[in-house]
Amino acid sequence: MKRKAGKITALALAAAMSVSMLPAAAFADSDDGLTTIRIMGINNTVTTVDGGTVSLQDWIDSGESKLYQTFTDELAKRGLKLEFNLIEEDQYDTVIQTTIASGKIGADMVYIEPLDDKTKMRLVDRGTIVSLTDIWDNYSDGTAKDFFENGDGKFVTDRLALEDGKVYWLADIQTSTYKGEVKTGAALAFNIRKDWLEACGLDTPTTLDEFHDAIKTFQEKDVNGSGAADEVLTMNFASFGSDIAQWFRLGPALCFIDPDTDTIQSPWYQDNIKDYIEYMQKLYSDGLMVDINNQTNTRLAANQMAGEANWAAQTWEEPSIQVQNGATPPELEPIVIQAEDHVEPWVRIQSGENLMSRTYAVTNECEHPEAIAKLLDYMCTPEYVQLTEHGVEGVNFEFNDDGDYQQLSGDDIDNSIMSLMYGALWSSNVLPRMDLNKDMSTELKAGIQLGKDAGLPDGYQAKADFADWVFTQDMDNTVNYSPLTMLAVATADEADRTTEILSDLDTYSQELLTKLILGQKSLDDWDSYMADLKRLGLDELMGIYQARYDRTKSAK
Amino acid sequence: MKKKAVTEAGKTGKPKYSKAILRENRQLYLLMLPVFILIAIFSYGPMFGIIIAFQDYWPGDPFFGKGVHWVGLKNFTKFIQGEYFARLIKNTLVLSGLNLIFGFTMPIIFALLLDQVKRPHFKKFAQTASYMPYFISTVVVAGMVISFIDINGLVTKFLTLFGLPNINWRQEPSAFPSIYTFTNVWKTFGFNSILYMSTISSIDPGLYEAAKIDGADRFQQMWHITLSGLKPIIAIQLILQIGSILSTNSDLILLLYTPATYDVADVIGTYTYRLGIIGGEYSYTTAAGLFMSMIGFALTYFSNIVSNKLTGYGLW
Repeated sequence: MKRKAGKITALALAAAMSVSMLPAAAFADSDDGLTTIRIMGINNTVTTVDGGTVSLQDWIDSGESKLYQTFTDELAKRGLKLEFNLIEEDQYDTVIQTTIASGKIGADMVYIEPLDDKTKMRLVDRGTIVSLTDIWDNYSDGTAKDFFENGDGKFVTDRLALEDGKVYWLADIQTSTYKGEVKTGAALAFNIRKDWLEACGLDTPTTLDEFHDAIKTFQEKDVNGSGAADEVLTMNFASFGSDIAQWFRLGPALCFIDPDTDTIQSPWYQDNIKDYIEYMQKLYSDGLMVDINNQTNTRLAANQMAGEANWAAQTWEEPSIQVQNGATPPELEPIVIQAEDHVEPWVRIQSGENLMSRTYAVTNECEHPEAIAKLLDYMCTPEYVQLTEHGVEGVNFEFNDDGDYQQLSGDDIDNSIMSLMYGALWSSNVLPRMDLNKDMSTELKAGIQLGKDAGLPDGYQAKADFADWVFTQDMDNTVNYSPLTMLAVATADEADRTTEILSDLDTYSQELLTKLILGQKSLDDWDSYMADLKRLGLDELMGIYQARYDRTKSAK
Repeated sequence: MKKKAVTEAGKTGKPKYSKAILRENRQLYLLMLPVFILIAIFSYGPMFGIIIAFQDYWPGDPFFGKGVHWVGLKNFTKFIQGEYFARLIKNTLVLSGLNLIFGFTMPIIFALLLDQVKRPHFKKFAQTASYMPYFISTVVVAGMVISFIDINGLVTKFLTLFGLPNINWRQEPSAFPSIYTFTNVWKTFGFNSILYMSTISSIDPGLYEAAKIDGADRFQQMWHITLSGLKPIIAIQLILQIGSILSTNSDLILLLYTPATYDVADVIGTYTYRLGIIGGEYSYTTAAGLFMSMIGFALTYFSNIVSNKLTGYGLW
């Protein structure tokens, strides 16, 4: 009896397993006349307006997204269908590298940002990733070809083309202006707690001493009510992109494009670097500043952050700050201080033609390059840009009286995540983001409204005023915040040498800057530090970047 | 231990691995089978991959045949002649040495002390509480430590009572070895003591009774009976620990270190992580790993010889 029961159970299990395979087999064999493009990317997650999180996979699977439905309908009109292989963000680096190493990627289009340029070029040499230039030359209906060769996307080709003149990978693209007049991207700045300034009866600091004293006052008055002097500036000591460094007109990275000379320079060789380090030493030794080291969110949640370097128009930090009930809503105000007499401070900005570091390639496993061409043609249209950056009219946005996009709120699943800042969940880390013809002023208006929604009478007006000042009056004193994205792709030799130099030079530079600020190394030994930097190849690295920048300029 | 098994087999005249022995112990071998398969697939199978230490390898390149770029010992030379080689070796040896001194002895001492506890409920509670930290994620432990040693952290405030300065200890190079060792030992001593406690429990209680009758006090019993019973397992564990002296808990260091503490905290594991995973230098970091493994193997080999000579116990 027991044996019989066991046999029946085994048979039932086998039958259940066989039946369960049939739906999968059915999906694999379905023929709806659409060409499938297999995409491998990150399973993006985003915080919703109610504080929850939603992932791209969940969002797609919910079937509730009008935005995604519109996207798939548009693709279907073009005979296309997308099949996603979405990997969790923390695993993606390992997955993509091991997938590439295995030789079987299993996708037609893949997000390859974790791979360095040298690896990408190896993949090109091996034929693992194919020429996008050939795809749009041979299969485009003209939209993508015109866009990348003659239109708004020409700068993409100028910077990403390899020595053979062809483009093998795309990046997230952003083109923007301010009110259609100034070609610029977003600005960055040092942000200080405006609500704490007001609580202490202080004006926005305009000098280094006022800035120092303001933070000191925050601690003395215990503005966050914690009982401890824990109101601090959170900084990355190892980085020159602190915005306080830019008050001293220092570059934002180990090597950067100096707008004064239009050449590659290093902050280590600039005049005011010692003054910057001494000021940072003072902030640290007075207990007003801590090194972030991935503790930003902790400091925000604990309401300890008095200031940080960040995007000037950002609105995502304030919701993370936990204040007491009835307290003034938190607000971060961007500021710039002239640190040196006769030296104008710099403001970090994005370029108006911005190429992000997130890159995407088409693999040699793609059997339908014409489908890729159709996808690219669609992605270069204003309709696609509107869909991914703003959503569906009447559902996610509407036009206000000024003709600007006005995001709609509500319970709709898309409105809980769509934001002028983020774009659609599949746009970036999955498919290239086409953030084109953005008017920064519209973003600022939306930001002001978010502040009003948070309970501030004037909203985030201070952020808008700062941006307006930068874009209309101070563009001569701006420096690109991400200089390497402005350079042409390195040659194989340049990539080799850059990797060799950077492995030790980066460690030395970060360590030196941190230890100088902490007072663990003395400025008296400056000459020996400069000798070490030269020995480790800083000058050679600058020469390599200069050669790449020269190629970028000559391609224009 | 291995020597005794051979002697016993020799005494009975049976070959070591006769069919009869295999049949007799088939359940044990079946129990071990998944482990063998796991080790075969994930440890021995990929072992040929160390060949990339001698190549200029990039993901997708073949390991053998056409398309391979052999570079000989270039990656090893680059590693040894690197700017930070001496510092990496020094830091690795110091942090591993501290771990050996405290992390190795603490579980033994704890096991010995716990064995003396007569109240069974308290003994069970103490044992459970001691190995709970082992199951806390390293990321969470590191987060806790960072909060405690922050300028307003619990530990920092406590230390000011003893005259120490109120600083962010995470930025203080001189404090890093202590913080790392203490955290590592706290996290692992309980779990590591389980092996010793189970060995102690297998010691014949009659020996203790006989010793008591002969007038041995608690400490004499501990020294002559308990520790003697632990000798084989201590020898084996020590050989394995010495063999892995060039390995450190890189995960914990990665979470705790900052550029301010690189000069005492940057070890081979963290350096190769920055280069290998972030920098994409697979061949170089494989060469560094192979270099460490070769030294580890040599240390294991020689410590096994020394252990056999001194104590009669060894891995082989």
